Amino acid sequence: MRRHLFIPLACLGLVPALNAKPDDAAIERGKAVYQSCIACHGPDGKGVKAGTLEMAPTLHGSYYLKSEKGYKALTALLLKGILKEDQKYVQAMLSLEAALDDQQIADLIAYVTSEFGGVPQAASAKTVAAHRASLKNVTSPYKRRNLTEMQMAENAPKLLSNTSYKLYRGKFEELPNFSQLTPIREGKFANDIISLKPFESFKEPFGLVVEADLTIPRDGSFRFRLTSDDGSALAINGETVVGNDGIHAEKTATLSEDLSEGHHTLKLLYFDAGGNRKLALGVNGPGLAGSIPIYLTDAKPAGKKEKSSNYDPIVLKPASPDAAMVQRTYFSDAGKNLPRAFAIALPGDQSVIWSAETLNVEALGKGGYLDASPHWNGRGSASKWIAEKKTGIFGGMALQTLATLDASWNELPTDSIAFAKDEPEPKEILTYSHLHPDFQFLGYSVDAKDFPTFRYEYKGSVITDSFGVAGDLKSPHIRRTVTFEKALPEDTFFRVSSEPVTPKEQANTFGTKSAITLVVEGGEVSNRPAGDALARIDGSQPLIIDYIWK
Amino acid sequence: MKHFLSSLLSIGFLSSALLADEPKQEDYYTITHLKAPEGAVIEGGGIELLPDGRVAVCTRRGEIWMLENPGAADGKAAKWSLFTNQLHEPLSIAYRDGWLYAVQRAELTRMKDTDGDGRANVYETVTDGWGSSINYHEYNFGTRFDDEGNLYTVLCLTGSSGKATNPFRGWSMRIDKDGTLHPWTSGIRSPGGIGFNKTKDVFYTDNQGLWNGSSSLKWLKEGSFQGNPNGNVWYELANKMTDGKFGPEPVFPPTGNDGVLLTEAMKNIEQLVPPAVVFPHKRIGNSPTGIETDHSTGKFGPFAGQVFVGEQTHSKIHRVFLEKVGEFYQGAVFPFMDGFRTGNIAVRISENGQLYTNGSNRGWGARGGKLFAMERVDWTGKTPFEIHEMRAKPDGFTLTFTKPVDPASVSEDTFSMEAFTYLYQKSYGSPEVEAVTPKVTVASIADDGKSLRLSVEPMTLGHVHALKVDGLTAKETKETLLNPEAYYTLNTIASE
Repeated sequence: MRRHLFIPLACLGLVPALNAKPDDAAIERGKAVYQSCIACHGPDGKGVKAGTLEMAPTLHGSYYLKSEKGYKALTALLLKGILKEDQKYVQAMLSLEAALDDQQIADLIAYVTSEFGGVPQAASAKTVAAHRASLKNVTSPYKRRNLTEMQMAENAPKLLSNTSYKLYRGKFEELPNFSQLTPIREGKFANDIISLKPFESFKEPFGLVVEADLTIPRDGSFRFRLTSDDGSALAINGETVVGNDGIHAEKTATLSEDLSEGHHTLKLLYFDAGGNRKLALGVNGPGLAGSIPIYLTDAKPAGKKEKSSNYDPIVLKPASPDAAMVQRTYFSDAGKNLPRAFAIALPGDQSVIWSAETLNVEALGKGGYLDASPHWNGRGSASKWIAEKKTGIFGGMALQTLATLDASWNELPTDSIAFAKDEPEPKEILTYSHLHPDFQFLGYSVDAKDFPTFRYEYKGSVITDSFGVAGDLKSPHIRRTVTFEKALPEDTFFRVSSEPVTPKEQANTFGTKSAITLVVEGGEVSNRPAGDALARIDGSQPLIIDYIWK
Repeated sequence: MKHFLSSLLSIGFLSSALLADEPKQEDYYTITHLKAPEGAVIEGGGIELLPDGRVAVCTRRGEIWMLENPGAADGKAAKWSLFTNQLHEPLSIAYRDGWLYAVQRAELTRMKDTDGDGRANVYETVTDGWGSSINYHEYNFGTRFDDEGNLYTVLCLTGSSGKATNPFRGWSMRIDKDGTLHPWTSGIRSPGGIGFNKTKDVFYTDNQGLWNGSSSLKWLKEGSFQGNPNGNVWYELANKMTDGKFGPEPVFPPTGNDGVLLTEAMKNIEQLVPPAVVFPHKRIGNSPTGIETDHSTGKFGPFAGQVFVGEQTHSKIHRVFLEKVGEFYQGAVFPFMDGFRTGNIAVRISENGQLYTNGSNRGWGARGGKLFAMERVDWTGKTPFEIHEMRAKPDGFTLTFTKPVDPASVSEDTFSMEAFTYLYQKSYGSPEVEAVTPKVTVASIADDGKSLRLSVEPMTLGHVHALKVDGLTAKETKETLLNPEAYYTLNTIASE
């Protein structure tokens, strides 16, 4: 239920500031400066023809001569020039930064705005100097769009009036019911710009309520962007439109709200519970400055997109050094996408990436486990596997019954289907993988310290695949134990590596191209000409594989 | 209706006398925050009620939390404990025979604690038969079990561009009691929740976007097509799985840039089922989510059997009245409650009449600005003055009320209506189109004051009929309606 509040128009300062007309002397001086422009713009400001093209556009009707509230964009384009963005004009607008001083630019503005159908501007050298200073870091010519937005922002209506605040003492965890509290200070903001500056000397945690009248120039959808540290909320006409509550580091909330032309009430609630402080509110929408937000605060809201690189890492680790940890997630690492992955942390700062698609180890790591921040922020992309050492030579389906020893090793089967997005006639081929029909993942269990045992079925036999550690307690290695419910068909092999291995002096020990040495018991290991290493298994005894970092 | 924050914001703008006359949400329904333990980030997900009285909550971070003492008057009495943190973005959970079932990214998994330490240690794959990629957008939601032990899921399309890059993106699936996966419907875009109405038909919420003019509550009629054609690439596979019984692929909807009306498209697309209740975008909310039917037989107030739907962006819960008229469901959505702390995702009502809701504003902003929250709604026992039901008649609507109306408060301006619809088109969303301003007159008021017959001229097929009530009061208390608006989607003109 929205309330409409009627506030007398006169309160709201709706009358635009009137521009002072330039005096004749300034116009006369400006005409002299303009002589260096006539080669392209012509003595009459209508542009000079050059065959089918024009040297430069006519100045009559130019948006940049029609600023109601200032001449920043006009000054900016005179100082820096305009980029050549099309083939319509022979010339680009050149930078006059070095050629003209502040007074000359002021006089030129007075002349062109008065003479060529603009809003006459009594430009002052002082204002030009201020613009020149604020633009000193701009080193290239402007795009028209940027100039247009600059002028729109300058000419944007003043949205707030009667902007007042109430300051409350207190350490809050979330926005309190301020109406039950007593403010310790009340005041108004200078120029109706909301700011935390008046409270800089107030060193304690506090709450703040800002109230203002909001004048909306045109009906439409307005996008509010609220950044705060800690919590904040924005309400219009008594309805919360953007919430950003709770104790948090700088965080931005954005929401759109349909508003009608005219008068509304705005209420901005904020609290700081200690640490950094920030409160920034911007809005864009019809009748404002295009895609440029109008800032209602002296601070600017954070940029459009949160960057995943900006997330604070959320590093996961097992509950104790002798425990494991299991995380089910999707992975994209080393060029391989694993949508059905388990990331297992093991003692010794080791990790295993196990796939419920291949039922096999896809990769091993040492030194760091998972950073969940990409998955637990924003919309949730894949977690980052942050092991310092990674090796990924164990891919492919876990086991296979080979018809001949040189048969190719099973990968995930793929299918293709013709497809077109939003159209009836197929345009592209969509290739997708699906689960292997010889295998069915059954699930897993964890022991009291979260060490996992995976279960799957292969050709009617339930196989378990457990992960633990063995060896030196201070620097344990990964031990994998694979058990078989019953006898397997003849010529069944377990793939211990997708690359050839090198037998070592010690029994059952094999070197690999990566940083891992394998010790395999329970199955005779041999390299195949195809380039992988298989252990022959018959299901009568477990297969035990130790993965030892070199 | 004013929620907590709004109430305090209103002060200073409104006279206290005016406030006193205004019915307030908190007089009828209260919100209790069930605060997470220090340091825990419980971004809900689904909610399930366990036979031992605990509440289970699954989260976007892959956890399930157990909440003991969830219904105590003091929210601080509720105690949280972690049941698992090993799941992949589970958004729905269901309990059966000692197992908790979770709809994860890549599978339906059931789990239990067999060693009594309070943590799940056995996880069994019930089905992993749908596809899964590494695209964040492939969210899955699931129902609880129906009377035959089926559980239904809706699988979001891949990516916000709306492709279906693996089976069965953009489909609803049925998983039967033995874990077999069956295709159920096509045409899903971006679901926010799935659940049953009181007769155990399956409904889901879909969000405004590509091929979806406005968000809505949709009926997942078996074998139907829900409107987004990009998942139809999987018809071949669906028929392979069902020995050809699933049925032919729907005619592709018109792809022109101007869009068409759904009522027109339905003439050529046999399987297309219209949204049961459209939630007009921005008017009532932006992003509908969890679906829950009130089975508390009056313990949650006067709305037994009606459907409650979460709203993420506006941090609200809506109330829906459904009726089947002719072939399809249709009905009205009413505002119910606002002022929740975060973007509501799950909604669950216990048999003793307590509503639990949780959610998150991560990745998609919400008015309730908290990153996450779990909240409980209790009925105070005081009946709000509300439109109870809005039923379509051939030439208007019958409104029933929770309390008798005061006939003296009815004038010719009391009821007004706008009607409009949306385009069915490949581009994102739709403006409101084909606006009609029907003439609304009060044809009769029942003797008991509990119902009222509106004549509406014209009744426009396929249109949302937005009703506004101004000045109507309850006979005894003289209070005005807590929520004086309703949006009825007219899929079929009633014959009686």
